[in-house]
Amino acid sequence: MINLKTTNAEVEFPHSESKRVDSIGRVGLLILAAVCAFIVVLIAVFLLVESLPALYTYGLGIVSSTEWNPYIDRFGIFVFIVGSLWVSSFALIFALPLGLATSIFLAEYCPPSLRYPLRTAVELMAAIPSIVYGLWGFMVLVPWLRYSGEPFLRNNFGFIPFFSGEPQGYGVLAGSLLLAIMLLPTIVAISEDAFRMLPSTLREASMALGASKTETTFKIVLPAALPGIAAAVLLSLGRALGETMAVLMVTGNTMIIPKTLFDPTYVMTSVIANQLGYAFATPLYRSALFVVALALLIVSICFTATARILLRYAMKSRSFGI
Amino acid sequence: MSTKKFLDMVTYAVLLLLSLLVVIPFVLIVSNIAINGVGNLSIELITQLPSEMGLKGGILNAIVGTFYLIIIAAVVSVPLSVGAAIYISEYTRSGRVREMIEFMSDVLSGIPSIVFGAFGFTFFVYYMNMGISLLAGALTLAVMMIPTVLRATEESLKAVSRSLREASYALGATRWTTTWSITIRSALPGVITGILLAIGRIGGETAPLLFTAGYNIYLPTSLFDWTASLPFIIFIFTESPFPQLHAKAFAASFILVIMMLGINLTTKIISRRLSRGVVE
Amino acid sequence: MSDKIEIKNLSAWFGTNKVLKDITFGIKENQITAIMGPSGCGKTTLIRTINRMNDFVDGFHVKGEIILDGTNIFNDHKTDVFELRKRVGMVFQKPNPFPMSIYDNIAYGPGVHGVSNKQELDQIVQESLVKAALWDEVKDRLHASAVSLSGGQQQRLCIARALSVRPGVLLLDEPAAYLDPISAAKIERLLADLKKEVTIVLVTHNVQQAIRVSDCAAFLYLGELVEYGDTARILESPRDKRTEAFITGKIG
Repeated sequence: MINLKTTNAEVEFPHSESKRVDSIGRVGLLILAAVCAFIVVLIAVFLLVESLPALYTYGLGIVSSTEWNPYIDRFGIFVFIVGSLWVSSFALIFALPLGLATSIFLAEYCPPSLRYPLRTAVELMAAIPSIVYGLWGFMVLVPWLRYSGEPFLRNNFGFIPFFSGEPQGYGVLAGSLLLAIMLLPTIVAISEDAFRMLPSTLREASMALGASKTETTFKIVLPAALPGIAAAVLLSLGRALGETMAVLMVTGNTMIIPKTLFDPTYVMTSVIANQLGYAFATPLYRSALFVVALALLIVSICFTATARILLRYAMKSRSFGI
Repeated sequence: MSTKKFLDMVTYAVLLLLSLLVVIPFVLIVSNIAINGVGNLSIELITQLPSEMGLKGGILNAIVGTFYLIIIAAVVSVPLSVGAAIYISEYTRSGRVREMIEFMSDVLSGIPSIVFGAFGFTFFVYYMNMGISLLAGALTLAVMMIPTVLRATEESLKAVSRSLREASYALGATRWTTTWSITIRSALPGVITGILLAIGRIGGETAPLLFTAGYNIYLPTSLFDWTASLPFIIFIFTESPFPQLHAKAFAASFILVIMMLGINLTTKIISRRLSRGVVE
Repeated sequence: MSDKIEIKNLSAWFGTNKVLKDITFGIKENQITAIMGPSGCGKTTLIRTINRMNDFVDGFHVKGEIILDGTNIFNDHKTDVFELRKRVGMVFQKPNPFPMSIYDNIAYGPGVHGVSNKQELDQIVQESLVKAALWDEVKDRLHASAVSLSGGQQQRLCIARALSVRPGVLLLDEPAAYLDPISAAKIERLLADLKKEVTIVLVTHNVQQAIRVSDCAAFLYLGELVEYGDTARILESPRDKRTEAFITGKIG
């Protein structure tokens, strides 16, 4: 190693060997990093390549056509897109108010003793695999909706068009309710972070002016946290659109465009899950399903990117300082 | 009492109620699974292979299958993710490269699981010629693990204080030595948490395995053999018309949920220990 | 000159930690009173007790009285704490404008206390900004974001915001701590003008600033009130050794 007899000016650098290890190590790690980055590209490329035959044959009309009949080579994915939008939108409508209320409670009002249990309970909800949610949905939620929930809604609120269908159990309502439960942890976690990110001096300035806690929370804190909350909404919507197993088991998988909440439908993720197995041997059929997968990929990338931008904007503009 | 104070109390009560409401479905679901699952749990269930199309026997094939899938997925994804995280944390100045890899990682974590399934089917099973196999399924899961492990490793590396690294460099150590002897050591708990979290994410996944891993009433004998897995059998048993299989599905769900909750709680314990014992 | 605020035998604890020890003095109306002392002496705690902002801290409790305009602020039967904070305003060390427009920042306070008439709000906004010596600089861009202002401007905005509810007392916690000397000087000048309408309590650890700006000074050390009196008298001929040590820079 370093020769202690030499003076400072003559210190040698005998580490040429470890320098080599360093360079090799660096290259090795770079390769690993490149692979990770490259995987997304790989996925996108493969999906695109597989989608091309169907896109080529049907053009972009495949997106707007409602006819899906593999036997006669008719592939239109519009029904699945609409189905996904119905189920996901209602899931968000059900989950957002509750999730937001919980995140406000956790961030602004919760006494320390309740914080840990409540937060843990919400986080553990996210640990349950979607297939288990699906099992419960299939075994418990659907029958309950069929014999109790939906009839009740129809009898008492049937004047609202959404509740005027035929109670079947399976359908949009089952899917959105189940999905809403699954989305809650995401909404609560990200929104709570959005609130915690705000400097405490913001609330103090409001209270020092004589505002009540409620006024401070709803007039100052909530508006200030909006970008973060918007990111939470986007990410949840993305997750909702991409959820497969739970929705697969409770929405009925029927090729219709829903008009009421009780109608069954077919969502994008379900059609791939259900049909890719047999479709694989038929090139055009398989390709059409890959168009659906490609659509899902594009949507999820857009949502992720936008949510990132929102979060970055939230962090920059809310942690003001000189 | 002033109106403002009253309003504050009302708001508190309403928000508290709504928050408790959120927990109710969770309690309902877990208790339902537990009640129905425990009743069907038995030594036979977890130690025997299925017979008579699953109507008799156990689900050992699925338990072992899931175990193998997780191990292989971890073995593949951890070096990749940790390596990438170390690279962007220790070897690049902040900027484009880091941004890009982080972005890719975020995108990866947002991709629907069925898309991974479709990708795994076309890429691993067909293009790479692995056929439907344990390996194809595990590799698909590995890809899904990458973002979680990468992020967690990156965050833990960030948390290691600069002065620690600088002390090492000041002694003449190379970046490589510093990284592995000093930095990674401090970051280890965080990395392990990340790995556990990732396993928690993929251990319960069904969609990626639908077209890649297949089903097998026996234990897989090689990487290229078909394999059963817990999520998969829950799916096919639930969709079957036989109540015995439904019962097994509940039992399997119970096992799966215990596994996932266990992993989750373990990560919490590790993180708590982490934040308590940080020496700056 | 009468006392706007009388502090009588005030002691305060955070849990078991006694941070203010039996403090008694008066804050004279329409004067600037500086509260000085080394870090940790309790000056911030003291002013945050005056507008009961310490109520939010778990484990904080007090003994003694603070009498504002004849009523003890700790008497919950006679004092509405929200009303109290309207009459006693606060400006914080680090400027903390709301992430809203300049106009909305100032209109918030009156809004919270019931003012909804647009003309009235417009007038209050202008009045407050004029008093805070900021009007000329922002009158053409009232709807620009407050966060786009410079540090010094943000702090003056915070002063204007505090003034919007027309308090009788203004508490400032080292308002120039984060500002450059020119902005600091602007704030000192505006305080000198403000005292004609508002009683000012200024926490500072800058002896020179106290000399420049304040009429009376209270010197705190380790939670105790060591000396109180006319600024000029205290700073030129301190009676207590500890005061002298602080002034000469031996303790800080």
